[in-house]
Amino acid sequence: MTTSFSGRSTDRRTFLSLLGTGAAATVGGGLLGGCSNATKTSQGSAGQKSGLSAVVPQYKPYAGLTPDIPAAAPGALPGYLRYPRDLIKAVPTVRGKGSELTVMSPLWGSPPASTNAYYAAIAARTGTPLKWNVQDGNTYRDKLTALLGAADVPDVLVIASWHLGIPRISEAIANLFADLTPMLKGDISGHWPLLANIPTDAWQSCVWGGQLKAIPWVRQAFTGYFMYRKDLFQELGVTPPKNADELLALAKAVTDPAKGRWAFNDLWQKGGGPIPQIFRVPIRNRGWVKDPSGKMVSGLETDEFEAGVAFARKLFDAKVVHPAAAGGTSGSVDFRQAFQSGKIVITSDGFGGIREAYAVQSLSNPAFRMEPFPPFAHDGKTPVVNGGDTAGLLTFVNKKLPKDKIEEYLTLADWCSAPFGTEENLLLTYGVEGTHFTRDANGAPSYTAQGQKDAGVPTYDFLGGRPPVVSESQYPDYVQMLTSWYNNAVKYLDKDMFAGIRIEEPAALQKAGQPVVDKVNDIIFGRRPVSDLEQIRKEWRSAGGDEGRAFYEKVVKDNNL
Amino acid sequence: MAPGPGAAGTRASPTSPPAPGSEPSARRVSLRQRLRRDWALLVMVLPGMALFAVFHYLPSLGNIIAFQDYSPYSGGFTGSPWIGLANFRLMFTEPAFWDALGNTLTITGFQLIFYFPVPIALALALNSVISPRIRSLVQGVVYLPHFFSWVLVVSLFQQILGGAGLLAQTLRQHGMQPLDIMTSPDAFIVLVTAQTIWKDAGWGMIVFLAALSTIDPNLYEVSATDGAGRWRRLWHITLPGLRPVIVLLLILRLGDALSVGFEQFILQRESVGAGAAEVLDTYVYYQGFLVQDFGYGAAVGLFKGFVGLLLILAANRVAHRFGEQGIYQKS
Repeated sequence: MTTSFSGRSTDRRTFLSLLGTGAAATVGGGLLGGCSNATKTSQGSAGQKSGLSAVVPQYKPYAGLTPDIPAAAPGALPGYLRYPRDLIKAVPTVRGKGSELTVMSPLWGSPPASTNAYYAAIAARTGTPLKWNVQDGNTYRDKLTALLGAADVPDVLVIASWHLGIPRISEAIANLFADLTPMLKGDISGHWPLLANIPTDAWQSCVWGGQLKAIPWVRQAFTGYFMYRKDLFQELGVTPPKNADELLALAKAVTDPAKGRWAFNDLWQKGGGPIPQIFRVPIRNRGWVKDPSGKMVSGLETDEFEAGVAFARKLFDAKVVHPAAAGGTSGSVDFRQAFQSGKIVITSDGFGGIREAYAVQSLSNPAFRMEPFPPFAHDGKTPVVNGGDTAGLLTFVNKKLPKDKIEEYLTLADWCSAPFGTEENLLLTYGVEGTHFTRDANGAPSYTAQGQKDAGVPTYDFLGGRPPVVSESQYPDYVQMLTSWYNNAVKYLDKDMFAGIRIEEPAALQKAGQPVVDKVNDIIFGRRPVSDLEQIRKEWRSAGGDEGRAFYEKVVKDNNL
Repeated sequence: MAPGPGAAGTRASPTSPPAPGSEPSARRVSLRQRLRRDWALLVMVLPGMALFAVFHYLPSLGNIIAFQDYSPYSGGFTGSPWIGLANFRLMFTEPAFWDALGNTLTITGFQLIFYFPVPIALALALNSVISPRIRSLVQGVVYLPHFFSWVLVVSLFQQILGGAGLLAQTLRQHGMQPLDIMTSPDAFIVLVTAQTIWKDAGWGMIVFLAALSTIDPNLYEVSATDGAGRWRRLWHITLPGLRPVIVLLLILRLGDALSVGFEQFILQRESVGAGAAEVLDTYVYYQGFLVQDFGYGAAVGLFKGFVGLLLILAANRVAHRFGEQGIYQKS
């Protein structure tokens, strides 16, 4: 593996280490200076592909249950309409050796108690107890920065794919985490059959510098979209919109400040950015598109961006946005809770958020219905729905761990990868029957209050990867609703041209990012006019945007994209 | 009042005889004798010194990364390449840095006028309360918020004064337009000062109360007999009695002029925008820490420390000129 950095001009440092596998291409000259190894993983030439398959596990699908609703196309998800009564025992024995490992993971919700019956049950079943440190996902990146900077990492560390943009993280990964290649490459179906069931493209996202560094948690293809309260919509007599004007009219209709009810929270930055999505702002390709002349253009520079920002501002001026929304996640209002309690009726969230909301609400408010809007575009024409990394989360193992403990952890990860329809998956998802869940007449499990707290939030779930399915048949209409949404939306799924290429952007481009977020927020929340956008673009270009453009043009050229 | 040129000097060694050179042996004690005499005191100082050594002096050496292209992973303190003053050059050419500096100085100046006197006034007011029960009750109530975290304080303000808070909802229910308190960038400086007063004025008061208790009550009695009214006593007895403490705290505050707090600002940054809420500490966080440019962050921190040191030295000199002790003196 080669990790090298670009040279440095006197007053602006450039770090780019485009790491991957296979042939190294030089990124350098001109603005960037120096050299770096740029490589690509999944879509390259035959030579590169063969290089990749040498470091990732060979895909051996695990024979599971046949779904009731098949997926229409890659990217959509299969659905199960009832919970099976006869479960497969995928891991017959307790395979752990009793080593206690420390693990830190993000969670978007309230963390369970640090010791609880759910952890204990899995520890007993796997033979490898874990000491959990569950941290708030919204501020996880900040914590990671400190943790990695201090080289103070636990035995096992879960990182979300969108946290991988931290500058120099590839250095951290190279130095702090174990190379799993020798253990996982090739056919592992004999020893870890459930890890062998993880799709190849997810594994390929875990390769840095020719080494397999992590275990992927596989997520569905979409990043996030508008979510609305269907029950409240029916109560208020409104229906999902088909264009931006309808969205605004709808928002006005549902907003009633005297009752403390507003239409939205911030839908520009948060939860996959649904407003940029309906305005077709390039979010894919890390926010860059290639224009016909071959020049790379940032999403910020497009007309779509301007139209989207102007619309977001219109929403703010129409006073349909919750007054605390400008404070974002730090503004002391929890918008997931505000949505669930009906203080806002439209929000944005990832698709796992629906299931998690149902787990909370099905006990206290059975009428609660949360659904994504059917995909639409601001002009009523063909919509675009953004896709993301299928390796949504990556689990890294500390380099300092001895080999036998790493192997013991992999055995645990194998257990955690048990797919739907296995006994292990039931324990993983719902905990212990009687304590954490009860079954209804159809055999579908439902959390008890304790189960919701301990097992209803993903902890062990994040440690393994399994092809995602929609299986929560205990929530009314949920499986039908979500599978048909996926089967429809997959037609509009936007592919990322850099998929599979591990990219670490130049530091200047990274540093130029936060000021843009701040200034665009100033526009959206009424502190600056929309016409300032041109100035903001200009400042961004000179602060690092142009450097970023040169960088991406190089990436495109080197990889023949 | 105009103290003579030697005023400060005589105060420093009140026990020394006025005639120079009359008893040199009494003044010059050998190191060994001093150790023998003061060993108990020195031992008592040791834990504090150890604390400083471990948590202040030793980490201060890490400031060298301000002159490095620092990477914690591949280089570390010793292996990262030296880049001279490049970080500082970048800092001084960055408009965002100057914006953050401007905000910080504006907030410091504003709080010097509108926050700094509040604990003094509070101490004076409380000192005039006779009933010890009421005194301790009020004292307890006003200094309790000091122990709340900023997250709690900001949430409390948000819940009461925020756009969907208690006040706004009450106004809406009575058909009135709510006031834009928590999200107005123009009023932000007033808001943060109000929060600081609510949280810390009671705590700041304690040191002034302590200083007040050292003033000889006989002075008040005598001046009252001589016909001095309440304001005259305040002006001629109380304030001169507090003056050394006020000057001391003022100098220390000036030394901290470029630090106005971090959490309070980062928590409310999105609500009012970076234009109003970006201070040097949040700037370091976003442009140094979050993007792992620790060298740059250290450069800004070093600049802060340097400016603080200059301000302390200058303020101390001014204090000496006015006959005050300041925070240190050459003996």
